[in-house]
Amino acid sequence: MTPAEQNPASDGDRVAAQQAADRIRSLRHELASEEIQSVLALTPDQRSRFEDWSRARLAALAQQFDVDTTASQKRVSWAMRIASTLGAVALCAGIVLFFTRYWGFLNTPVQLAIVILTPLLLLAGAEFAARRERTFYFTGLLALVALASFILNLAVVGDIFNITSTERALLAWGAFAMVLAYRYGLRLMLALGLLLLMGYVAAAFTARMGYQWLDFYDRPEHFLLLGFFVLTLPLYRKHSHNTDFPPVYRLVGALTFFITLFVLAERGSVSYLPWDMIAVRRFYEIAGLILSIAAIWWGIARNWNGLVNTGTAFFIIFLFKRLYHWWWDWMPRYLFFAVIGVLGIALVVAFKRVRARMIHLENKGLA
Amino acid sequence: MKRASLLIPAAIIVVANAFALLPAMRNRAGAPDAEMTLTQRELRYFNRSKADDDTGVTLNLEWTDPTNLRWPLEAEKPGGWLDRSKLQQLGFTCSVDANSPGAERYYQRQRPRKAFVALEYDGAAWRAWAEMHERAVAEEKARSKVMNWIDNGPPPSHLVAMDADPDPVKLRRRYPGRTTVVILPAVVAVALEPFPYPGRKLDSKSPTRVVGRIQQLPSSIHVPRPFSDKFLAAGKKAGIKDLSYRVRLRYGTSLEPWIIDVEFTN
Repeated sequence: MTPAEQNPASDGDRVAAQQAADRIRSLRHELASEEIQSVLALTPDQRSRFEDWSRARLAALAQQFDVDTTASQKRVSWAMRIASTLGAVALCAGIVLFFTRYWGFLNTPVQLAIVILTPLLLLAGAEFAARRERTFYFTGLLALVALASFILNLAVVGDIFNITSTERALLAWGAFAMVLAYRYGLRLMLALGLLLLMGYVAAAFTARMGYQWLDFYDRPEHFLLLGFFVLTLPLYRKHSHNTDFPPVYRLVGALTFFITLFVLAERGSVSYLPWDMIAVRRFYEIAGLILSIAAIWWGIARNWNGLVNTGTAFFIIFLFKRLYHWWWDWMPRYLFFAVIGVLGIALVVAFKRVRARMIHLENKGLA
Repeated sequence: MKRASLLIPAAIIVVANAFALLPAMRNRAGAPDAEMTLTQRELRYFNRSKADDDTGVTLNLEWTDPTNLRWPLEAEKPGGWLDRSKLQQLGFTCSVDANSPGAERYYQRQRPRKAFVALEYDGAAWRAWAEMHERAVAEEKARSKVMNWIDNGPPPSHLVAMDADPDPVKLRRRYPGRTTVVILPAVVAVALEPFPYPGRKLDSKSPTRVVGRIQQLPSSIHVPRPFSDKFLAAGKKAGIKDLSYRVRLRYGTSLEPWIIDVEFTN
């Protein structure tokens, strides 16, 4: 069992525990309001028992999972998360610069020993931290630095032996990041792992076709398939542990998919499609508009906020791009922006109507 | 399960290093593919700025494209050996006539391909290039004074690209001289020359042709200790520009190089 699974062994993972704590906190808040008290009158005994139970439950959750039981604690946790990520990035830069500063004074065996042992030691450090903390701030930091050291490791070995670079390093780094992500429940590591593995698949295919693997973004259509695959992966693979991972898959997959679509709509010449460049651009522009609407619809139907937001952002980007190409050259600038503003208002009205319809349907269902 | 999932990331590090180190060892263990002594012309040492923290020493492999001369000189036979038939042999499709409409898009869409290139050191290819260069300089001097005030840069490398093939073994069979010809993995691109820009008039004397160009060669060569110490010391003493040296370079079975000796001649 991994450390990520060990902590939440009894009733779901830390995310589920945090959700439970949030629900109890919200219930306490609502029960204290006069409006609820006028509808749901609790006897002093019931109120006292609820207070005791909720306090004890929150304390137990905090004790067992180190969850945030107040709004201020949540804010501090976010600050800790940001600080640990920035700290990890700074440490990565520090390790790389420290090595490049001194490696010229070292013999080859010593250079090799340092670059191979550093990620192993940092991995041991991450494991040590994971066994001692429940929130994994230090574990995440050390895991990220271990990944950076591993990247440095293979880059330096390639440099020392003048090895012709291949795409296989991406596979090793991606697999390493994924294993650490699942072992410690680290979302940033999962996102990095997915990006590295997608890069590897595209690069391996490019190399297989007889091209230089580094040119893997020359024909970005691979990333449409890969992005869609990653986006839909949580549908096939259930996450009973790490319940906060599916949104990461969806975000990474959707961003990869739509950014690629945007690149193809902007630079038609890089497409596999053997059509005229303008035709390719138009095709991907229209596809971008239709698929971003489809993403919004799918996200609403499945209650996936990340997909709704990504779809909305790209729908607006594709729409504005098209309008820019239609009108920018001949329309006065003030009129262009005025029309964009009117369209923005029209979009808000359209979304409002969709929302009103959803409320109506939900009320009907409740009745 | 607990121990296994801890061992997997450690195993990935170990296995990845083994996958990198074992072929590197094999490259150096077998009979070398080529061994040659190159000079500061072919292996250039660039001094780093004082602000640069990197203490490693790297040499840059410089090579001469036989179809190109330095500006403002013009080559007699642009295109050279990397022509249509050679490009087809390397996997490019050159069925569309270079002067036909749509040829520009057709060839621009073809992506650079991997190939192996033979480079000859100080041989007939270099002598042919040097003669062509001398003639071009003389012609340019006669035509204008521009050559008098142009700094012609560092002396050109005597390592000249002379052939390419998708198979390094076939290439080595064609050029068996292991002390004069080195075979390197390369990236070759296809292009049209002169490029048919929109509005360009057709010139029957110099019609557009399909040509290839070597886009990339592995040029960075790591200098290990104790040779790197020599470079750092000599660089401090004589200054990089005046450094004169010979480097004995060996290319292994995987066509990856390593330095076996360095001798400073000044």
